[in-house]
Amino acid sequence: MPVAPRPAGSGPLFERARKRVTQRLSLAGLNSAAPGTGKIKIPAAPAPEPVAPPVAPVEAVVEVPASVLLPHIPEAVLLGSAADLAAGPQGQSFFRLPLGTILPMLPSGKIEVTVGDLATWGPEGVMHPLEVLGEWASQMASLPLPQIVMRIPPEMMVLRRDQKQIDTMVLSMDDPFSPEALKAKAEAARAAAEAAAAAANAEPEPVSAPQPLPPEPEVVLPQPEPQAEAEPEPEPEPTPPAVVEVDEPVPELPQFSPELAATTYIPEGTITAPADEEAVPSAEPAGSDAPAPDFSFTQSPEYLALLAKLNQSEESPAAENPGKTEPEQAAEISEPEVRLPEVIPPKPSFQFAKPAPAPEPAPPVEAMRSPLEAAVEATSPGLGSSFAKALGEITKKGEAGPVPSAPKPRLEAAPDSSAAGGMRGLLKLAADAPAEIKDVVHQIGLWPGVDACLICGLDGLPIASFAPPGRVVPQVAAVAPKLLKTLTTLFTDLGRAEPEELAVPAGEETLHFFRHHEMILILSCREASIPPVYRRTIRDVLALLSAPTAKS
Amino acid sequence: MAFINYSKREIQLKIVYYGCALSGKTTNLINLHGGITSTQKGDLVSLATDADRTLFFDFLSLNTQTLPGFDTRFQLYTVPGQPVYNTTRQLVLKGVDGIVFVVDSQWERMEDNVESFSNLQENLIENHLSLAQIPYVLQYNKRDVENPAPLHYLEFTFNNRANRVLSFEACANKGEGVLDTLNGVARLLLAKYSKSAAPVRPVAGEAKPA
Repeated sequence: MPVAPRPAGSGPLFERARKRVTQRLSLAGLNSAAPGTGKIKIPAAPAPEPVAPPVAPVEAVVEVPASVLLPHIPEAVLLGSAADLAAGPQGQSFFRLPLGTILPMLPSGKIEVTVGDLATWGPEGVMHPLEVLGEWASQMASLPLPQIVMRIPPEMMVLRRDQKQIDTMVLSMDDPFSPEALKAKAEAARAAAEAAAAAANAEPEPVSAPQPLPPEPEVVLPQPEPQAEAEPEPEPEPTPPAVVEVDEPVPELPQFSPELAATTYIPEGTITAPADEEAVPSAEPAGSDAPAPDFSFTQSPEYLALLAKLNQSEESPAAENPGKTEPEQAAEISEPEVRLPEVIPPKPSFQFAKPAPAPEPAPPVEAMRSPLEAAVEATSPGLGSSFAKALGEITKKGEAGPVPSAPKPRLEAAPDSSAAGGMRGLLKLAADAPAEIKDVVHQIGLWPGVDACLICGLDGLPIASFAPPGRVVPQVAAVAPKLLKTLTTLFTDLGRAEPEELAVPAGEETLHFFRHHEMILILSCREASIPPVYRRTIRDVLALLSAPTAKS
Repeated sequence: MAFINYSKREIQLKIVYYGCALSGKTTNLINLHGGITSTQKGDLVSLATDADRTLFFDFLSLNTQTLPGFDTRFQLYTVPGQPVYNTTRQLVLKGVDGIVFVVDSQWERMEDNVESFSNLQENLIENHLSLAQIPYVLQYNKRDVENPAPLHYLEFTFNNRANRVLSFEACANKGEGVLDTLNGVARLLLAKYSKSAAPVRPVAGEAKPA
């Protein structure tokens, strides 16, 4: 609020100071030894100029037609219905909203004022007077943002003047991904591909020979001689050494800020691309007992498997060196003594120079895909094959062998055969066939009185669900862990055992939450309670699904 | 934070596309994936629900060579915009180097935009970061909708902080402004990391920075 100018020689501060000076001078006069002499003439304070009555500062306002705001004002405070007022002459009158109040609200994306303020700013004949509004005066009314913003002059919405402007270095820098560069690179890639194709046509190789790798620059590099200590291999072409020892001077490297050099590290978790220094656990042979990678950010084993698969696809050493064991790859990647000559391109990936493994008779691609993989590829071709494969890995049947760090959601692995048999009967699953987690969820969803069934992990991400169309499964899964965690905290504070079941009535249905270790099963039932046999079955299912995770 | 792979002579920078639900974050990545040559990109990994809503994150890897002697790999992530997935957003923000905040230009989404922007700041604090430390740009997306919010209002709302940042208009579904936005945040990152005080040179026998 701008402050009204005050005339010089007035105001409370000035009056207080003048009074103090007057008192001092009076005392001095009383103590004077020579009264009558040295009369002190107190200079009179300048005559106060006629003070103008306090005038409200002239404040900029934005005028909004009443017809625009009436639908957003409670009918109870209007002097008629909103429609009648909008259609009448009152609708053409204006609310005068002070910009000093409105502007600070704009960055919040909404404009909310009290009804009392609106009554103050509004024209007569639209709203009840402020005096009779009572409790309504403090009620908030949300006003239409666009209609108000569009009436505010743009020059009123100025940015702060002390803003630090954008670095000129950033503005003057070339675009890393300019369309011209992209086009040039595309042309170069196309030309290289054509050249490679022409070379392949000119000198056809026998079918049994290893296929040439893509025309990467690394391929044309002169390959160093194999080291003497390298283990002799039966292949005719030796594997190039991992360390490139060159006596030429080290090329000049870019200069990095100390911040960058100091903060170089391998990010936690696996949501970033895999660091090449890290060993990729999936490269180990199937059935190995090596510990699973430490994925600290999620507890869902399905997602661990999925993310591990995704990480493999990002040029991991294991992906590029499928024929090497994990220690060999680790030794290669962690080798610090890499000195490169200037003539060598900046990416001496010896992996590309390794001869391709001997071709094996591979089945057709379609035959290798699971139905789910094929479905993902068919419906979402843009997702990429790695995701489809990883997703398929989660629900793939057991014939492909065990997946490291992923549970095996098969009921056939039940430790208690009698319990599993009873469970299979209730779930209508064949006794000798492996069952997938989605089959189990599907069967539970078909139970009488059950509308939907969902299994998720402690991260709130659904693993499998069976629900009619329109049900918001992911949202329910997302809130379930927090709900159970909160309940657990409360129960722990009360000294009670950790709850493993929770029933929440929600309208005409009841949501039943079952938890076992890191698995949560959610049922939406029309019944408030579930018969014990069904509950026992659910608990058995969760116990089986949680078993691998519980061990780890 | 940036990750330098000296053996592959590669710098990895993580860029996160942040914004409210349905603001067009995934559309940005899909468009980039389609527009960038195959030699520069990896597969687009997307975990979406049946309704094409991002469930966990989208991931796209782009290569370029801008710092001498090093390949720069930009790893692009998006976050699920729906409020219930805040934990996921916090996870994806871990180790972030740059941020693209995607603003939906529709009036009815303005409150969600602001809420998402606040959520971004809160989640950065959870990761011991702040917008003052992390280079970020603003993308005003969906400029082709009928009656979009005016630019001066969007700037007043989102770009009125202590540091002015780059902002871009975009129609991600048409590919307009998508590359400009990526270039903007990439330039910020390259400028940040190319400012030097002392050269860093790997020497035989010297351990890599941990």
